[in-house]
Amino acid sequence: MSKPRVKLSGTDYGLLLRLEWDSPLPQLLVELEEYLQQSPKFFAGAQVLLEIGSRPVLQQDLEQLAVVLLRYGVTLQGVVPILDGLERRPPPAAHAMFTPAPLDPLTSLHLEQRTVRSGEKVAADGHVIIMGDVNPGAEVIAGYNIFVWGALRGSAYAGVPDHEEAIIAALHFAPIQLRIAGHIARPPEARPSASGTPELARIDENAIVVEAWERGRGGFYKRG
Amino acid sequence: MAGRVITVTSGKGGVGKTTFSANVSAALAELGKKAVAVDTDVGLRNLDIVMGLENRIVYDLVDVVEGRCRLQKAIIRDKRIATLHMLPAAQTRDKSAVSPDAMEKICAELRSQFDFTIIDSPAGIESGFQNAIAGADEVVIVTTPHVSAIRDADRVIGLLEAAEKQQIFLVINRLQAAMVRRGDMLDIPDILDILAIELLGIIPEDESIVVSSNRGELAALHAASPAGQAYKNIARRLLGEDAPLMPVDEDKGLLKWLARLFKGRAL
Repeated sequence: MSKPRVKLSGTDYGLLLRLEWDSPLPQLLVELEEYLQQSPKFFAGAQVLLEIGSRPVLQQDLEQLAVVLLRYGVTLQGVVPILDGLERRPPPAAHAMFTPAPLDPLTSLHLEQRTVRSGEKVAADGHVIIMGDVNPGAEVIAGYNIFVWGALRGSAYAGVPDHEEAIIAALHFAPIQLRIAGHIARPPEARPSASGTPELARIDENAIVVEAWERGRGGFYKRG
Repeated sequence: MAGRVITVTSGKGGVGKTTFSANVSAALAELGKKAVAVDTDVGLRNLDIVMGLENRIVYDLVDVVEGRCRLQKAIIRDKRIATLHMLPAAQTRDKSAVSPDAMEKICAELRSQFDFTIIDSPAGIESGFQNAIAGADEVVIVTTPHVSAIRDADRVIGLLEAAEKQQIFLVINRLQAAMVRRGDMLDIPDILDILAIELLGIIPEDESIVVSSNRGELAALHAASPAGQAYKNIARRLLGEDAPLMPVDEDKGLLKWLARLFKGRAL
């Protein structure tokens, strides 16, 4: 076995990708792809710097490399000259090296396309969308909003731990228990089982209120 | 021969799994299919009692798993219907005596010998349940119109989906016609709405089941029993025939109500 022709190493500047530039570009692309294929999940979400040394590299070559990288979820951050010596420091532990850049929880979405059944739990830092029902005995937990495109019959905890602006919305709203940030609510005993219209729960004056979604009211935002 | 292995399960105990397994096996056998009912409730064996075969047990499932006898020797042939068979569980052992791997092997062997292998599972979702579903091609969930039974059924369906079982059917047992008419019983549409799996049949409450189970007689072999009729219909539906979801002789009002219920539903 010859020495690896594609190498990824951790440096103080982040992940550094090294290629054997003596090969023509098409071969480099193949070698890079083979390298990434070894553990595609491992690389997903990583950001790398490409070491190009002092040689001239064509923009279009870089683009082709970036496309291959992107196919495996790797973003090409930039190019650097030879970074000799930088990797002398021991690289951080492998799991830390490849931790993907943190997603912004405000914009991250977790989509679940199934019926969430009794005893099952769906949890995510950002918003959670369920395409299907949430059955009694199931739990949905989100850092921000929860949308159920189906029937909500289980428990939903939105805005965990303290995002009071979070809402919980469902087409058929019949939860066992709701929580938004620190507030807990359960439907009143006398409540007729779901009104037939989509409803949503939010915090209003320190309590969870549930109201029907109405057309033309400006979506999910608070009035006034 | 490549037969079908169907596991009968529920999560909750006491909903009628064993009675269902015994009677549907018998109904399939009576329709000319070679059927075997398998008891996987090691330590709490019951199927033999319901089928009236208790006094004929020599070897059992655990003997087969542990190599003390061949599968053939442990299978009991029913004397009422030549095509009906039973493989009993061990009574003096526990669930750890069997493993999912061992069950898969036994199911493969049964599949090659029988048209239908009906596996009666223990209550619960622990190792006994895992053993029972290991070799299954299809799964029948038995539930009653009670909130707790439906909750457990939902839990089990979730576990089956996670185990990538594709064919999951629902049987609603012990439906009380009078209570349904009064609106005192959980609505069937509500049950179907929550569980969202295909309905295979509805079995009416039938006091004679208690008597026949205690005596080891099979209701499915008695024309007079409404539940027995329902078991026969389910057997026919398993064979792809267009049998009613519920016995028709029960009650005209209920029938009309059911007809309304299933209008527009693909069943």
